Parts: sequence; C-alpha cells; structure tokens
Amino acid sequence: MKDLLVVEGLGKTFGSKKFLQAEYAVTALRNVSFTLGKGETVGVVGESGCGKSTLARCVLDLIEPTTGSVLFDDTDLTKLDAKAKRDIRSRIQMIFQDPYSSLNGKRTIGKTLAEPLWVHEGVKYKEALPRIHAVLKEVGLPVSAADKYPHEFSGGQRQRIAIARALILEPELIIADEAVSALDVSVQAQVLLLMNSIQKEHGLSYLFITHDLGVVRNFCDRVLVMYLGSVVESGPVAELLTNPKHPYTKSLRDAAPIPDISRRQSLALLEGEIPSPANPPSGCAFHPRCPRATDICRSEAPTLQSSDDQRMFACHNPEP
Amino acid sequence: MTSPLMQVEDLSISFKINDKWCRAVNGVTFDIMPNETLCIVGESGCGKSITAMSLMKLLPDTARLGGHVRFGGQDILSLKERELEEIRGSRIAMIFQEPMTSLNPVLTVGEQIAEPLVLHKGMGWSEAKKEARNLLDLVRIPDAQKRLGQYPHELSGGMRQRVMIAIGLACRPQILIADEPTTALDVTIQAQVLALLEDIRKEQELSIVMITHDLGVVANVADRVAVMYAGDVVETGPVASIFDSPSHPYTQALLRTVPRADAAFELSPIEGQVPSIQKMPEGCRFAPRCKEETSKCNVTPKLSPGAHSVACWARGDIQ
Repeated sequence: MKDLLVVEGLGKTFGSKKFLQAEYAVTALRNVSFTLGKGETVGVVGESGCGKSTLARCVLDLIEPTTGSVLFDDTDLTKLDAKAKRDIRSRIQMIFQDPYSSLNGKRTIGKTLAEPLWVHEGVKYKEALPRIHAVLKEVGLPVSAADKYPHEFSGGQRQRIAIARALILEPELIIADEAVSALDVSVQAQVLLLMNSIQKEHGLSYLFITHDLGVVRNFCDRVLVMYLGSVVESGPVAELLTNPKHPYTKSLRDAAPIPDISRRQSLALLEGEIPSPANPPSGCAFHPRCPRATDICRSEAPTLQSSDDQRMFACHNPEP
Repeated sequence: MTSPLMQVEDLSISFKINDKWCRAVNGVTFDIMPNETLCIVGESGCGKSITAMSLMKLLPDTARLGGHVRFGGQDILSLKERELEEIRGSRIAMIFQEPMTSLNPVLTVGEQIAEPLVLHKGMGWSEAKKEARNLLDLVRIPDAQKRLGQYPHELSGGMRQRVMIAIGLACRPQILIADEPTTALDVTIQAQVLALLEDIRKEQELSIVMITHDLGVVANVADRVAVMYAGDVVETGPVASIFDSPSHPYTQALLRTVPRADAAFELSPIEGQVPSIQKMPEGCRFAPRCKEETSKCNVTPKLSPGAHSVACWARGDIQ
C-alpha cells in the first residue's frame, strides 16, 4: 500500500545572528523520518521540549523545516510555491489543544466553519449552509449551533467544533496537536470515540501528537517516541509498550500512573530533568538520565536501527 | 481508633450568580485522619478546589459558607482573619498547580522559603535562611546553596514545585493541601514529585489532602479517596476498596473512561455534560447522566454509613 505521508530527514534549527551578539542555535528537530499510511493513526509521544509540536508544524509547513522533505501524496510540501501550498493544505487540516484560543470568539460557529470553504472553494455562506449543517450533525452538535458563538459551548463541544472545522474540507490527513489533553476524561473519551468513527467513515489518517501514553495505547496504530528533538523508538503501539527497547520508552511507560490498585507501585523513578535543547548533552541525549548508560553513550549518538521490519530504536544498550 | 485531625461536616459553598444563590458545594462531609493521604478526585467544576480552599477559609467574601470545618478544637469557618493567619501556612499549608504563578517572581527562592519562618516562628532572617537551606535539601534540590539566591524563572517546572513544597513545609504543618500539584508537570517529573511527597509525609507524619482529576495518580498515592461530582461527595472509602469495587454509577463510569497505557480496551464515555452551576438538577445531581436512574433520584441521597460509603439510591447498604 502506498503511504500518504513520507517524512524524511526532517530537521529544524531555530536561531539568530544579531549584530554584536553571539550566534545562538536551538535544534528542535533532528533527522526525523517516518511514514503514515492511508487510514492509519500514528502517534507522536514525548515530554515538553521533545519537538513533537515542532514536528507537527513542520509537516504542515507552518514553520519551514531546515532540512529534509515532507512528501504528501508524492508531492514535496517543502518545495511548493505559495499557491500550490495553499491548494494542498485543504487536504491536510490541523486541530489544536486549546479550543478556547483556537476559535474566533467574535464569529458565529457557522461563519467559522464557512471560512475554509470560502478560502479554498469560493463558496458563499448561504450556499455553504447545507454542508455546515451536515458537518455539525456529524460531530454530534445540533444544527442550531451554527448561529451561536464559542463562549456558549463547553470545552468538549468546542473541540467538536474544531473537529468540524478540520473536517469540512474533507481532508485526507488531520494533524491533532494534543487535541484531547485539555479535556476531562469523560469528555476526552467522547471526543476520541468521535475521532475514531470519523476515521472509519472517511478513511482519513491522523498524525496524533500527545504526551499521554494511555491515549496512544487506545487510539494509535503506530507510535514515535521522541526525546530532545529525535525519535528514539518507533513501532506498533501494543508491541512497543509491552516490550520497549529504548530505556526512555520504558521509563515513560512506567512513570505513567495507571488507575488500578493492583498496579500500585512506587512509580519508577527517572533521575534528573529534561536537558535544554540549547545545550544538549554529548553522545546520546538521554545518557545523563539513563540507567543503562555506558561509556559509548557519552561520546557517540546512537542511530536508529531496526529489530524487525516494524520496529526501530536508537540505543547502544537496548532493553532485553 | 485514632481521632480525625480535621472534620468537615456538611460543608456548603454558594456563590451569587445573577442575583440567585447557587450551591457549588452541596453539603460535603469527610474526615482527614493523621498521617494519611486523602485524595479528592473529580472532573472540572465538581467543587474539589473550592472545597480545598475552604479548609483554610481562603474563599472570597462573595462566597457563602455553611457547615463546619473542625480543626484543633476550633471551627475554621467561624474564625476571624487574625486567628486564621496563625493557622494558615503554619499548621495548614497549601501548594498549587502552577508554581510559576504562585511564586513571587521578584523575590529569591531563599527569601520566599524563609518568609513563613520569620512570620510564624519569629526567626530572624539569617536563621530562617539557614533553615531554608535545610528545606531545600529536604525536597531534594541539588546545589541548595546556589539555588537559595536564584529567582523562580531560573528554575524548571519540577524545581519550582519542589520550592513550593519547601515553602509549604517550612513551619512543619499538620496538614498539607496540594491542589493538582503535578498536573502541569511531565510524567517523569510528576513521578519524582509524587514520590517526594510520599516520602516526606512518612518522615514528617503529615497529612496530605491531594486534589486531582487523575485517577492514575489517586491509585498510586491515596490512602483514602473522596469522589466528587457537581458539588457532592458521591463515594468515599479506602483506596483499595474504591478501585476494586467501585459502587457509585459515576465512579464506575469514570473508571471506564480513562485510557490506560498498559492495555487497550473499549473506552465508554459518560454521555452528556456536567450540569452548569446555575442549572443543577434537583436531587441526585448525576441522575440525568446515570444509566441506573430510579424514581427516588429526585431526592438527594445521603452517604451510607461505614468506611466505604456511597450516596446512591440504586445501591443498598455497602460496608
């Protein structure tokens, strides 16, 4: 099967060189490669500063990657001119974390949903109404929502509106950046199930950015685990979480508290904190916190290797 | 049988909205025992944070309080500001979710930890600064001497929360109220802070009231649990009993909505929304979303007696 999205060697360095000031550079993303099939959900998981949101924005070319390519349906997004880029963006949509700041408070929901149709297809509001009503129904909101404003809705309902806005152009790929993180668990489950049923209905793909391994386990097919700008491990979700190869994946899994009293334990402790991307450690970025670190880890950065055709990890001393 | 350190009896908290008094907390009762961690768990708007605030009478004057919070032979709710000042930060301390907004950005870490010692213990500043150093060691901040002179913006989120804990512990309180102390932290840092709180609780024989929305955290740190929904405690009991045999339909449903990292299963969401404070249903506030609603549910159910108790008409006695 052909992949919908092929990301190769993607890197992003933020930096500046000002007059009379030392040049500084922060590498937020380092040589990230992955593929995403049609109808597939790939999760990207990691802690603050691991580059997962930068990855999402680079894929959409919202920020320009420094190196690498993003092939969407065989077209390299990084090489397109503005017009072509705009056209292809109607096929990739994004949902953000905070439904309070991602919806325009001065516009009715109907106007918000009509905008992508006007921008990409030149459809006027009145003609767009049937499609707006259809998409509202699809995300489980009443048609009357079109005449209301964002403040009249709860967080979960607003996230449904954000999903409707992403869905109205019938995209092939939706990038969800912590789309359910701000929601209460009972509402989070509603939104996840909705996203699942939309996927089945439309056959679209998700790139799902999250910090929550529980969500990954229950929602994604494959997952990339990131640490300080690099992918440290990737593979099918169940296998990767049952038998993690990279010590960071294992620590992340064991630190996630599980609501089950029989699993009560002192949550496995990872020493230290996430290093600053402006001043990354030598060798493997994880070595100062790693219980399995040896000399080679301090001097040489490991490269991604595959244990079988599905799984990859970057570690000199992988878990057994 | 040890007697409770604090008894909360029929606590109610109302706010005036559009000229109408709305009960945000609807008469909750629970005890805090010595040397235990009590977790108050619930979703947004269930009243868990204002319940915690009222334990120190920290709510604004616009809130109308009812019931009693008994602590050390006094009723906190009937104390005057000056009497409260002797308790706050000294015998009961509180830490918050976002350490960046609760620390003062223009004072050094050392000054902020020393301040309660000067105010409550009558220490001089130099003595208090020495004690502040010990407190930083207690919360396992490396390089304590250097950290004392730093400002909050120079610390990471996890370090800031450790500083908050050091301030909270400065006067050796009997109760530490922690309102979502790890919610803003990454999971590996959250695990460190939770382990730290647990160790300190054992060392100092302290009681911790932890407010959280995260059932995973509850399962890992609580001794006892109170589950809140829309201003009511709907179920309370020992942590093992709550997770092994949840009884209230809300607790049962809530446990089925949490995605777990160790297993994939069919998530079953709770249909509908938490009711708005201005339109609370009569009787059991969970009834409109409940699959086991009965004809009795238009009357508010009381918590059943016993260690594991539940407020639900569809449940018989539970012990």
